[in-house]
Amino acid sequence: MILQPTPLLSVKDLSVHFKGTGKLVGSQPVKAVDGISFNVYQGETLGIAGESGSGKSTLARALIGINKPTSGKILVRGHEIVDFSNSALRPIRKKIQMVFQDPYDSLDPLFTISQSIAEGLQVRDLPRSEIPTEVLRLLETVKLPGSLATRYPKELSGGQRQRVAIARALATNPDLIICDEAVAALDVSVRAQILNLLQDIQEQASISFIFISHDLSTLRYISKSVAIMYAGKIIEYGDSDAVLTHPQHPYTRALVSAVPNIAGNNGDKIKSIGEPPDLANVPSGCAFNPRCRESVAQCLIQTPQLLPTAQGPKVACHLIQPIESLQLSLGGE
Amino acid sequence: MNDHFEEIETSLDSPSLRTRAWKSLKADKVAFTSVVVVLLLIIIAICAPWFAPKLPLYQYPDGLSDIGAPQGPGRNFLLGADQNGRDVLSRLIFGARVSLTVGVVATALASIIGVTIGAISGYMGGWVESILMRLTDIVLSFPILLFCIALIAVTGPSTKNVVLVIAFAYWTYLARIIRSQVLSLKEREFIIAARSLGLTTPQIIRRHIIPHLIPTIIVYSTLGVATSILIEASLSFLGIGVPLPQPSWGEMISEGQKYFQSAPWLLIAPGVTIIFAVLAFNLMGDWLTDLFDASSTGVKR
Amino acid sequence: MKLEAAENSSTAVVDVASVSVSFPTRDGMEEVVHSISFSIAPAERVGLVGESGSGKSLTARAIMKLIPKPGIMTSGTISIQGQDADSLERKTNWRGSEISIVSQDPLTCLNPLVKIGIQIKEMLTYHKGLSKADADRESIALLKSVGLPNPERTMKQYPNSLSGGMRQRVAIAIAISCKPKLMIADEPTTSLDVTIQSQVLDLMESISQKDQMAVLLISHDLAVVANFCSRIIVMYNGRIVESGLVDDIVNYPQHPYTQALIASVPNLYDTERERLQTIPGSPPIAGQVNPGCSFAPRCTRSTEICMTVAPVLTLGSNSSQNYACHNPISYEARDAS
Repeated sequence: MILQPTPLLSVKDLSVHFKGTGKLVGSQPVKAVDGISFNVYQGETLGIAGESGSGKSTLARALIGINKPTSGKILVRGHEIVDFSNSALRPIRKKIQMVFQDPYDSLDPLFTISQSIAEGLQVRDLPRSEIPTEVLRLLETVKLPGSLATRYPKELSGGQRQRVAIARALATNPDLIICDEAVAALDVSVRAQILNLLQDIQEQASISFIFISHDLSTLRYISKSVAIMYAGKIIEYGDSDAVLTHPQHPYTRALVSAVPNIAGNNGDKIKSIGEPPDLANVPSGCAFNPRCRESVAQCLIQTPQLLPTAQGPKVACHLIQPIESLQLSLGGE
Repeated sequence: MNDHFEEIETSLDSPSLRTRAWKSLKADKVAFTSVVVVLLLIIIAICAPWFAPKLPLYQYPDGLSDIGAPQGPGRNFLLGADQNGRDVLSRLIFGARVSLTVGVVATALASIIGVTIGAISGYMGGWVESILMRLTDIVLSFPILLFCIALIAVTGPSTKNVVLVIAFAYWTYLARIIRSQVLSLKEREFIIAARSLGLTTPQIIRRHIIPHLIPTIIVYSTLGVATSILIEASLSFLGIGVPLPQPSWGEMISEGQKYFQSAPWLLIAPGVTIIFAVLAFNLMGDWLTDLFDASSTGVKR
Repeated sequence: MKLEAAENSSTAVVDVASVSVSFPTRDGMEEVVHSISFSIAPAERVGLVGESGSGKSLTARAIMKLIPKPGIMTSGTISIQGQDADSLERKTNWRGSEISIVSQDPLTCLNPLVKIGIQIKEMLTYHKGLSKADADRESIALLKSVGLPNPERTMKQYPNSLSGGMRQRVAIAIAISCKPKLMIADEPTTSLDVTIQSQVLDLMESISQKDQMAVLLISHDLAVVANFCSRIIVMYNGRIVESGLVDDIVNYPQHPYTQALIASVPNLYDTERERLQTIPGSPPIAGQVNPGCSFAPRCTRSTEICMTVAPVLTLGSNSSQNYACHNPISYEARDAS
């Protein structure tokens, strides 16, 4: 195994638990994110896949400092940034930006396009005189005409607004941009434009992305590695081609087989049963066990660890043989 | 997914605030009348000396009849004269000046306090919000009238006190409304985006939250003037409002009720005036609410 | 204009003939659906594919004669089982019993303040005249048939206590309660997770086969439509640009828009990871009218005539495929055979 260089972003055992809002006394906490670890390297894209209730949005918000983590570490180039109240960490935190799902709400409707982008520039302490040129340059980077600078968001289409959101995120010169379902609300023909744009930006500026989506096809296209989330945990993690074309975890297998293939029937479809669990009430042991056709007694009692497998990706499943001997020499741990 | 019908509506719905305001005024006669009345009141209040036919404080000898009874409405005194021979119409006009000045200043003060407290408590949450909201609750349950009487007893009647009392009474309503608006605003994605850009809380409140609150502030200020006219009139009626000899609608009612049998115009004139003024401001507030509701602050999804 | 030569119009469940829908604007009437025609045979599963502004949802509403005001159908006819929909209106209450609709967000058709049980029974007592006891039994059977694990309990719940997938199942149960000949499903799985989407589509497929119910599936997702339907109609800017059998459309798309649409969607099952083809610009806003072909400004194959003359839907060399294009893509290997 090749030892990887220091990751740009390293998340270790991150948990975000919310106080329960149940009506019973001593109600369970909502474990939206429960012990997650992963790495993102410079210039690469990590995809995070999950259905609703997987905790992926909470994870995104924890990374940009909106949700406070309950425990665990987030390291940017080796610097710990979990202590968000510390304003000295601000400059490091600004290196992580986000593009949101709803293009109709992520731009302040009372701000012009250039005002929205300029807000990102101010964070860089750019002198006022240079702001207009920089705004135009950013608009060019996202392939929008400069004439849009004086318009308001309501005059732009969804795809155009999303480009503006990307321009605003780029304005701070970030190292990492988190895209939280950034294309889900766009028309199909527009999604490809945005995905290609993100790839171009990555090539030019060596920016890393974390791409969060429920759409496996998009994730396979745009990510180098992918992490599959279920009930707040990562249950499979590795090279996106390996994970998405040869999934090992029963949930990943069910997820992949549920994706419709335009070319016709994709062989044996695994009929999945039931629905993702309520995060306030996660089943004990392996969270997927009530829906898993292959579960054994151990699955009900013991939570499986995310361990590397012979095929490469790490999987958290009792039924899959980990490679014990190679655990120690894996980089990035 | 972008709903098809939404697109049709927004392509039809692009007129600016000004155009929509004008259109709705032309269509809605009631709203139009109320706006006209409010503007008239403002102009009259500002230019009172030019509108008033006589001096409001001067006791005209021909205001009283030979036996000392006040003259009724006629050519000399358009709305009659009061028990001291003063011209009712002129007093009403100068009273408008008092009512509106008190109304605008008190409402402005209430707005500043209410918006500040509401915005901070709504945005910051936690113990800050708890303390500020409990404070608001305490003030809300204050007996305003008793407070005013106590204040007057200590400092003596003055216009300043009236303004302070009204502001004190009204800011709580605004604080609550603003707080609930801010609570929903702060969940919107452009606010979260601003936070992730690293903007500080004061910056976010100033640049992104307050501008979205302006329609609410305008509507509630308009309604606030209506309320303050009533409060001021009530206080003056009780004798603890605007001090004599300034003409005040409330004081005119207080005096007028004594002479209701013999000189009913002394009561009717200020009474009707107050009703119309308060009504006009309230109706204008309604119109503004509807106008801002089909809001220009973004596409409705 | 009939598209499928083999079809007998008198047996079609729904026949849409030259239907146009317009909305009034400040500048006059704007046509958002232009003279579309198609029919659906009994038990046939047809997909209607398009992006925003394509008019696909409005077409569905037009069939149900439920176009939202102030829109109106300005031309054409809708026939249901051979009878004109307008005259049918006076005779029976056909909505719900002959044709039912399931939409994207079940909360819009389920009353959040009324228990599920009452909403289902309503359909049965109203359309089929069942007694309360019979309606009760049948409702529970229906909920079971759509895969709800605990039907008795669900009857007593409110829509808000159910998950999205379960709500959609309830909506389907209500839609099939009176055994309609056609179910219109407008983006029924768009807001659902992919595993739940798969379950719901399987359910709809089995109901369609068991009850011989036709389905009109409206979606922006070509893959979903390709797996579920036997025939696809592609709409763009209020017009049908291509229609045909699934295999033909997916493998041999002749209209440039269809081809570009397919090529712009990432495919999990592709062996090669090629850069996605993009269609420049954005889908037009509904009602926008260009001279000539409405796709021409974004089309890589557009010629002079495309900008001036609107293409008409013509029968392709492959007799079941139709396209409206001056410069369609041709497939020599296929056509030669």
